[in-house]
Amino acid sequence: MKKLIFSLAILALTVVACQPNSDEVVPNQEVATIDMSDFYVYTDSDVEKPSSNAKKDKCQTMKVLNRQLKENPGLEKRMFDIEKHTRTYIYFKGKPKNPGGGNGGGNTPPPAPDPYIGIITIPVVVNILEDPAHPVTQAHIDSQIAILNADFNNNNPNTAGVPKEFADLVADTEITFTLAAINRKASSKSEWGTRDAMKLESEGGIDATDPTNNLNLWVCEIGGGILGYAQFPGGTLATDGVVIGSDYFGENAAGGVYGHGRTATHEVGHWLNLRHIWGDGRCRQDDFVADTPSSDGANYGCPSYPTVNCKSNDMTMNYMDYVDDNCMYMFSNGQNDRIRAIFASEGPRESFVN
Amino acid sequence: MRTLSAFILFILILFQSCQSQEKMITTSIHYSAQTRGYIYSIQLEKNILEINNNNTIKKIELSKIPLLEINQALDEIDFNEIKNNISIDDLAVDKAIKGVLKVHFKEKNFENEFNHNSLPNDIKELFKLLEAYLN
Repeated sequence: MKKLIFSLAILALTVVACQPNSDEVVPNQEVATIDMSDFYVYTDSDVEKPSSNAKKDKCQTMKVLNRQLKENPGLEKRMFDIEKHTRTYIYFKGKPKNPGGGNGGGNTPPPAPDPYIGIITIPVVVNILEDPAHPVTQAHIDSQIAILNADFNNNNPNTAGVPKEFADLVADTEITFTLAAINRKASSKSEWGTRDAMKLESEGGIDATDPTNNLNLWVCEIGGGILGYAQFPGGTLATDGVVIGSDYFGENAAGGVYGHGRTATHEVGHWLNLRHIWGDGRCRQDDFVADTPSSDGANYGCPSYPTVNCKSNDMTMNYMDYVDDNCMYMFSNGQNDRIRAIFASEGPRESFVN
Repeated sequence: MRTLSAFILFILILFQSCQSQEKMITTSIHYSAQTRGYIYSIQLEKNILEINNNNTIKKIELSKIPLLEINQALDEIDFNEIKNNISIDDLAVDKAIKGVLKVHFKEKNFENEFNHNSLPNDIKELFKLLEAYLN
């Protein structure tokens, strides 16, 4: 009998010991809600094998070698950490920072980033590699700064035409761009390409000016059909910034339907950690923004509303789609949350607000 | 007897010729590369070749010889060795233009996705050949 009671006591003790400490439950649940399972960065192991089997290729298609990752092995972790920071920021937005009220025990969740409230001012350094055939005037520069300010502060006049479905989602990001400096260098190069040569003095370009405190814009002839390109937060500091083709910089008649400065708005959106609105994949591939509808590809031209893809209406007028300049006129509130996250404490562009 | 043999030979040649022509006709090439502000596409269907170079569209009806040349060029490409080279991370920040190539040749389908500005040499040569018929 004594043995039986002793065994039962041991069993009861074991069960009680295995119960989670109630003080630790809340923070552990908070950790579990920061879901990173859909985050993707492509690595060398994803390099696809050639195949004549089209179906098999389709599945492998997007898994390819990333030159930047190869050259910069720490980038993958940095991008993961930035995404996790962003998601933690968004998760805690409007919530108490320590909902359990306890001290968190030994397994504390990541701290909620402190948001930066109010207007963010971003000094802009314009680096121009001047090709006489594609002049960049002071008027182009001034108009570009004005367009960025209009677009990031919900002052684009075209926003008046936003469909009712998206009207409540239009964001004012409260970001002000100020012209900090203009650097000019003569260039006869007709194609600078997309390998960042224009960003390096050693390759004939212009070095970035203090990229932890300035947004560097390079204006040059990119060539190859590319209007502009960007770099996400977390990349190499020396190449941090945005590149815009000369004809597409500011209000510029030479740019045609892309001559109204929205290439810069789109690329600065990437610089602020926004993805293309269709997530660069099929319906299931997301842009990591909750209030933008899923889509399976870019929209071009000036699409009529509604444009239906993936069983919902595309937000074709979003700056992160590929439509003509005059047909894009909004960031969403969810995109604004992602932008604000990078300026929060421990965020990759926190230096701009401190 | 001699007439009969000649007739059979004629029928055989005709049959072979029809077969090879049928094979040529079933060859198709579709390529499309697009980004914001740029489009390039090639369509070869039956004997009609159309190329859209940033909205400058040229079209031609090909005769038998160019079709034979195209088939010969395709024959020299080892599609099993052609590697896709597009990076989603480059696409995500507009550094690259995705080009999708679909080829139907010798009753097989091939599909690849390339960085349009960095096409494999064999594919670049094939496109040069096709462009030459329209210049």
